[in-house]
Amino acid sequence: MTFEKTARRLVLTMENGFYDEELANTPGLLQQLDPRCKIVGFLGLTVAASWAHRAATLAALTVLAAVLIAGSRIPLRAIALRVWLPVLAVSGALVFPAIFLTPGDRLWTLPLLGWATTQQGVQAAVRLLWRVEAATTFSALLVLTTPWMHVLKGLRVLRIPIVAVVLLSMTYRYIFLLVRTAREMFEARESRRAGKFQRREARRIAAATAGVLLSKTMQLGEEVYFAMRSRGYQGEVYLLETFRMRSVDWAAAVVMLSAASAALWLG
Amino acid sequence: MSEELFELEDVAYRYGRQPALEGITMRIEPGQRVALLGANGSGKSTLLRILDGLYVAGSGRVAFRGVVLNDRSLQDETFVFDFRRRVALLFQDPDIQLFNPTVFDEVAFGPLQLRWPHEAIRSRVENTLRLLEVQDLRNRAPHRLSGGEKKRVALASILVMDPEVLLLDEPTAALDPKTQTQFVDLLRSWGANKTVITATHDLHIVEDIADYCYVLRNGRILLHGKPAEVLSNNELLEEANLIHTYHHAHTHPEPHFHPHLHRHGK
Repeated sequence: MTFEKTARRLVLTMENGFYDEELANTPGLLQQLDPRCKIVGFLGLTVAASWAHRAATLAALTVLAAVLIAGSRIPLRAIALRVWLPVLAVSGALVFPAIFLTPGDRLWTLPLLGWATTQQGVQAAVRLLWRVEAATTFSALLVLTTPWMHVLKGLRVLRIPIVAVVLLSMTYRYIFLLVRTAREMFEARESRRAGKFQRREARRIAAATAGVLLSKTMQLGEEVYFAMRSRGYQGEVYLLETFRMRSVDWAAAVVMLSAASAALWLG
Repeated sequence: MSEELFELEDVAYRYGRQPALEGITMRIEPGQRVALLGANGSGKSTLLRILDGLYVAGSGRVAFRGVVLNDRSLQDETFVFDFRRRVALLFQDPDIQLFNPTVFDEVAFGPLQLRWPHEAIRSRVENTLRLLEVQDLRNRAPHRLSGGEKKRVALASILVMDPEVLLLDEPTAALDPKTQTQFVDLLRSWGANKTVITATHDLHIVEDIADYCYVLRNGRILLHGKPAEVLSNNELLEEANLIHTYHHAHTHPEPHFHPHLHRHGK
């Protein structure tokens, strides 16, 4: 059951990722900055990475991301497991057909199937993956280096409507409940499994589990919302800390927005 | 202003087509300690949620200090703000109630929503953590705590707001005997003039936590009265699935009720 082990490991990693704010509280370059400057700066960089076409621009943005990761003391393993690998798996599956379907110069042919890959197809797929990875890395840097409540509070300070912040807040809770429920269901099934499943049976169980997981998570999500409302939550985010923009925060915002503008201009 | 804290008149609630509560009428006065007794699925938790304004009664009337709890009043920000300050609910499953990254943040969540001054919040949170003996857990992630610790933190997260009314859903469920005793002692000593409404099927804590009881069965009130009267009515308690008749062929010639345990050597 290699797939199950991998899936369980992934679920555990995601669970730790959602709960732990250790990285956000580690002393580092980005952790010291005001959340508002990070929100604005990373929004600009994410948009720039999504729009970038030239390899040189993408390379420059990647170098900037690498500098920020190193300066913020984020372990490469953490960002690879939480961001790069999941994004590669999902985006890779989506762009995979483009390698064969894009017309152009033939590179090689898959044995047995006879499908031909093209140079243009491979280039388009690599560039798209690179863009998605760069854009998600910038978004992840914001989330990994900022306590989640500070992100929400920062969004409210920047006049993002309360409905959007509540939706974001509940989506976050929903995802961590989904992950936790998935882990518990894995464990419950493992504790009752006596032998290997046939492939067809395994597929049937996986489909049924997905449905039950969704239903259970929705119910749990509603319960958590009740628990929040019961303690006075009405959508607004309140913190004990007060945000204060220092000159270093202004400088960081200018640097990030300048880099984003330059990337957008270069294309 | 009504003298009653809560007034319920012929209240009913349904989950889709499934009735959960029917014909519930009760009055709860300020300072009263009430136990809602019933087996699983008897409607205790639903009733607590109605009292906490999370669910609106399908029919009938629910009022808090004379103000009817309905969609209109529960959307009135001024009323809700005041209501949440006065009434707090401890959920049965502490995992649902604990959603902040650290224990300190969890306990500070309610007071922050009530917009207390920051210094007052810090000092109140520290005092409550000490009261519940969880001050050493202040920087821990709530989901990594043991069952008893989670329950204490969940209780701290509502006691910190110093509510007038405490609604407790199975507060001693899944706790070891020592933690159960500490929990009950804490509830007994907490604010003499406070109202505490506890939903439980744990009969041996009833006399310690309540001066009036309602027994629910299939969403209806089967019996109500003083704890001593209610606990002595074995036939109705058995009908409510709160006690069992055991048939021990070797030791007892006749079927007998399983005795409920009493604390403090009662």
